[in-house]
Amino acid sequence: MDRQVFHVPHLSEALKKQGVPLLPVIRAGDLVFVGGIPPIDPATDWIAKADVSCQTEFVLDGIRAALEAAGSSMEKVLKCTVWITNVAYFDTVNQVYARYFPNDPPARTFVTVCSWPVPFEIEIEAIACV
Amino acid sequence: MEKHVFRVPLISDFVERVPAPLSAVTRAGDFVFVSGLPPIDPQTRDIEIVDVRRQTALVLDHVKASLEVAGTSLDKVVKCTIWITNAGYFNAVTEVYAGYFPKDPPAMTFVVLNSWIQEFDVEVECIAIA
Repeated sequence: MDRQVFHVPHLSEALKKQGVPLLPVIRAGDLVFVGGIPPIDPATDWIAKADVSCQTEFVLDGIRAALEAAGSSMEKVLKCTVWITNVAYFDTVNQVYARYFPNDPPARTFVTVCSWPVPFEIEIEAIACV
Repeated sequence: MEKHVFRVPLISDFVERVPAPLSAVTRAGDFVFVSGLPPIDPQTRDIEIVDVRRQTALVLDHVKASLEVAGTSLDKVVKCTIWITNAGYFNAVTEVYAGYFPKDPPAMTFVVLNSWIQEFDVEVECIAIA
């Protein structure tokens, strides 16, 4: 089984700007792995300055772009992990998240994190099939 | 690879009441993904305030039920992540956990998070083969 890597518009540019040693998405066989995606604003290719609701949209848009680059889609996501800086955002995040997974949502774990080194509140990682 | 989602009695009822946009367990091919979920009391069908050992047993009972609905079992788990509110619970949690995986236990990560939105202390998510 080989690993396949993909360029994802805006995400790949943002990562290159930061010099972070990772790729946004990797495929092996029929499984696709999307690493924790922060809220990237495609207008700036940098961390979005926005409220939690908008940040959640940017994150899920990024996941969708990564999945589609790798030949998958939101409907094929099997498992997400949501990382949040403040658990009080649970309902706010769920309201946005539910729109991106309207039917047969993936398995999910929702957990808090202390901090990231840049000011944003949410990341989501995903495993999908093809 | 086709994605399948499953309803698990008690757990899915709780998830739908929250409401949280997730499936308790998903499957694609021979991979099964179980969501990290709180300890739900099977009598009251809600989260009750019980000690961390009892919480761990409940959570692992939910994992077992989810795996069985998806067509697999605890002895086919390849990876668990345990989330805990207090690192001081390590011995108590792992003592109960060991009872559910008596032979060739899965790979495991044990990490501390800040908080959940309700009063409980442990979640376990896992990946299994079928």
